[in-house]
Amino acid sequence: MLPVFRSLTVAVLLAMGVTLWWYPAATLVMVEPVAWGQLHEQQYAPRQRASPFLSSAVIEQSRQSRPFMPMAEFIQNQVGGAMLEVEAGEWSRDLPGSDGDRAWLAPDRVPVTDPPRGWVHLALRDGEALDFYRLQWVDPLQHLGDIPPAQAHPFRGFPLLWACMGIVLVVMLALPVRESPAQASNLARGMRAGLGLLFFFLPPTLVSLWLSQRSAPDAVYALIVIGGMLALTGLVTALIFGRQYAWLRRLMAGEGLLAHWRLAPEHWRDFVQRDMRRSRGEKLARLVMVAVMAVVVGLGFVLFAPDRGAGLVVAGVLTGMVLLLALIVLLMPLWTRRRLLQALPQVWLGLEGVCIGHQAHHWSGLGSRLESARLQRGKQGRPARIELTYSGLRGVSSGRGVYVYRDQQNVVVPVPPGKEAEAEGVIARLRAGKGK
Amino acid sequence: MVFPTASVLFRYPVAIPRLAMLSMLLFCAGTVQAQPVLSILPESTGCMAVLTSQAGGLYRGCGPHWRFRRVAGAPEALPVALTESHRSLILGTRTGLYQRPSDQTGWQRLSDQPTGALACHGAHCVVRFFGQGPRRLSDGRLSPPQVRGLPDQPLQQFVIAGDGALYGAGMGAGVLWLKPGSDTWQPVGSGLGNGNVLTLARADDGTLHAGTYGGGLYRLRPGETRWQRLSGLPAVKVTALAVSADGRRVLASVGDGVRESRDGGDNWREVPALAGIPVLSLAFDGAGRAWAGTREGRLYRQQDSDWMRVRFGADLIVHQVASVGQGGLFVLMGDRLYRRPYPGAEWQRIETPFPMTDGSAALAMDAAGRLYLGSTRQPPRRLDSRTGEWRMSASGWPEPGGVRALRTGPEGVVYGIHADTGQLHRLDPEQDRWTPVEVGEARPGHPLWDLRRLPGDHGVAWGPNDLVWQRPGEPWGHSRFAQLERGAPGLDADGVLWTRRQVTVFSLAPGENRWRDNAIRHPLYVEAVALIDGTELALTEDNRLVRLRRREDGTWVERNAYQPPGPPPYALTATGDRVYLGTVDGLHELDPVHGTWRDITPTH
Repeated sequence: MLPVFRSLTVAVLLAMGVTLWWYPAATLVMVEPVAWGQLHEQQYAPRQRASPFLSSAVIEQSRQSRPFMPMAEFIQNQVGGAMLEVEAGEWSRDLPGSDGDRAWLAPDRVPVTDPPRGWVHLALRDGEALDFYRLQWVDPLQHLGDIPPAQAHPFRGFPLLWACMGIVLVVMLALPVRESPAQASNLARGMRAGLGLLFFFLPPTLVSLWLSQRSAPDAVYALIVIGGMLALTGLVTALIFGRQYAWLRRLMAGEGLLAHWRLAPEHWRDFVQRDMRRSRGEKLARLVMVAVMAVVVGLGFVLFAPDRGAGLVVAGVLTGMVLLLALIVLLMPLWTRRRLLQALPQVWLGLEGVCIGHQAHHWSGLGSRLESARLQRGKQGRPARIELTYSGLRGVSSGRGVYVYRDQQNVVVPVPPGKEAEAEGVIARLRAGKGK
Repeated sequence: MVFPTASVLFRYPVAIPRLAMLSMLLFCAGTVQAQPVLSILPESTGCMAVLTSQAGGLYRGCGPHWRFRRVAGAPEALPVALTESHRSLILGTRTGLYQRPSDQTGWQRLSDQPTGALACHGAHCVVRFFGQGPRRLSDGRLSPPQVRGLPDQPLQQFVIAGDGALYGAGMGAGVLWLKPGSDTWQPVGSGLGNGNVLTLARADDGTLHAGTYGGGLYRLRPGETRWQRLSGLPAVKVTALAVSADGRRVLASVGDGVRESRDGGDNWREVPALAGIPVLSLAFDGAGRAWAGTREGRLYRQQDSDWMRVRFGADLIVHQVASVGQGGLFVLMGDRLYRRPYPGAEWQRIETPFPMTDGSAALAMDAAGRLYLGSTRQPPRRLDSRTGEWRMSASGWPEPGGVRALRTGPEGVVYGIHADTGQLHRLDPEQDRWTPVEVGEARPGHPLWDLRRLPGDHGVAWGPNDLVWQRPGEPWGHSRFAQLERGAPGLDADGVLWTRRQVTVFSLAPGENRWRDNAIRHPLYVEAVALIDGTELALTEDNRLVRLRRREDGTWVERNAYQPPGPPPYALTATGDRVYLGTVDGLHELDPVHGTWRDITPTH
């Protein structure tokens, strides 16, 4: 099975699962028992509760200016003259008692054919007895916190659906995948991650767009914005890595290939170990620079900020950032080393980039270029290596705009013993290609 | 009455919602509404007391003519319930409980709690304040609340038996009782299929009737333990109930009419005279006559087998009165127009050319003694005194459109304000033609509300943003005031005109044409009529009636003051030396010698 197929299937399954688990019912009928006696009492009983604007005395004065209405008049006034009398039946079995909480019914269970916009007052007749309710047709999106989950989210009531989706998901994750060197590369993984992001966030975003036609709460609009942005990010990521992945596949197929070397295992391990130390050293140097700047800025805030508390907060945030960077600097080389040790000990070197094991570097993209290439011969019996430096454009946004700068990357390519002459030829080709 | 909820005002600063709320309160307080009849009480004196839902809305009338009048001095609080105990009236209101012994005119406040229900039998009384349990009331003293066994739903109806047993009922509560000496409420009988009890009545023989919401009427006879639903009456809501003393006659209001049973509830028939009328209260008086009070504030009385409407409440409000000649009177009272050709004559009801049920009718009398009548939907018409027919009044009235106000202004000239445009029109007595009064910018778009004659033949008319005025012998002047207070401008004793704009007061001194921001002086005379002796009778803005004499320097001095015989608003007129004042309770004539009033209200 193709890795990209598995990634897409898993992403779509997860997206569908989350969306269906949350998807709200179309319309529900909110049913509340009405205790007219208590409502009548509340209308006229004095209250001591004050409002933010009106004193309790003013409120009481306004209440005392309401003429008294006998109970029947009060009910008529409250219901606007319209009280629907309905016979009790199967449909009313789940209604709450006169002192119960509100209930939620599916619209087709309520014997009212033309749902109005506001409340419907209903007298439920059971023989001589009458119970009173008021009903409102509501969009469950507005009341998700109040409605029992099984009613608010109807798809949760289909266990077969969830079982099927679970089985497919488990099968997808359990099936072995045979990856080619190109498919195992960081470029293929990046492309799959972008596609996964796109296909995971696209369905809920589209569903949210659909729901926004209803009386959607703010969360739906937030989901449209955030989900849409993440889906777009996934698309751009997939396009960028997909283009580089296509180059890598062509390179491994021999197109533009300058050299293809296989390294002995001990040579490969030695290279991986040294490359990790080199990479860590470079990153540590950057970390020290950032840490010094953070200390200077943090101290400045602590010492000179008018609000000392705010200064301490800034210093704390900067410290946390430096600690996080330090963790990354320590772990990333280890992660890279682990991946490289699992990869085939091979090197593909081309005019547009190089792939060392699973790790590909491409300098032919927009704004990228090869800066230098040189052969470093091994000392004390160590193998030679090619040191490449390439750069790419990076952008940093600030309050005034986007600053673009060139970021350099150093890459070390191991040269198998006996391939030094070929390596010199490769460097000459690279330099020639760079000069074009 | 609808009040804004505070929630819609939350975004605004504190002062704005407070002002908005208070403005709304003031606005609502001035709104004229129907007075639903809450209860009809047959007094032990043989008279009937009728309680409406408006503040001070307690009326009383006695046979045989049943001329109902507002009870003077009744608490100006919104009433809830009325009962009688040992010849004392007990009145429950939204702001307290009051008692008035029959031999006194003053009311004694028993509690400042809002009363929810009230019932008495002899010396035994029960009262329930809103938010509390029922309490016994004896000799003006309240016992502690009785709470054991009370249901969750409040009891709203009470009945007391002769032995002191207390019955209570309520919406969702069913019927319970408290035996004498017991402190625990217990359900009364079984088989009450509908616990939404709206009304409860007890006959002298102990039979209980419970009227329910949607379940019809139930009966429980003495010695029985199970309620019986009276199947002759459909399972509807029974909003009011009356049972005669012998228990044989039962009246039940079913929302849109009244049903009557003459055999204790077994067989029922509709009362045709009350078909379709929302009756809120029913009662039998001591002579066994039935009474009914409606949501619209009407009162009906059974006479033999017929029902007849009793003049009551809004029927007694005198909207306008006009006098002609030596004691001739026209009075617009309720929705009827009456004429009395001379003092002491019988009142004659005059058929009007249009129904006056919407309360907007207006009348005026010109200097020639011709009567004009109009309403907001009807242009002014003139009564032909010879034929008694109504004809279209003088030409020139802009049609279509009725008249918002019709008044006799300065110099006895009739003025009308057009209902649609709000423009002031003058009925030219020489040309017998309506002509618009050209007063500055007071044209369509600047409507006027009303017009009054002030002392010294001053005239003033005002609208939401305009004030026009006339001094004796001068043309009308005009000033614009944004947001004039909705009340009549007035004239003070120095002949200065005054008006209010929100919290600002403006004055216009005699001989000047510029209004000044000023501090108000009292009293202000807001309406006046001229008397034959050269004096004037004026109404003050605080509802006093004073006789004014003009000094040589043009200022006014008060000679006599008279206490009006009833509550405002007032309708004032005079002819010769006779003064007539209409109130919300009827029409009264002033005895100028003794300063007393004689009730001359038409009774039919």
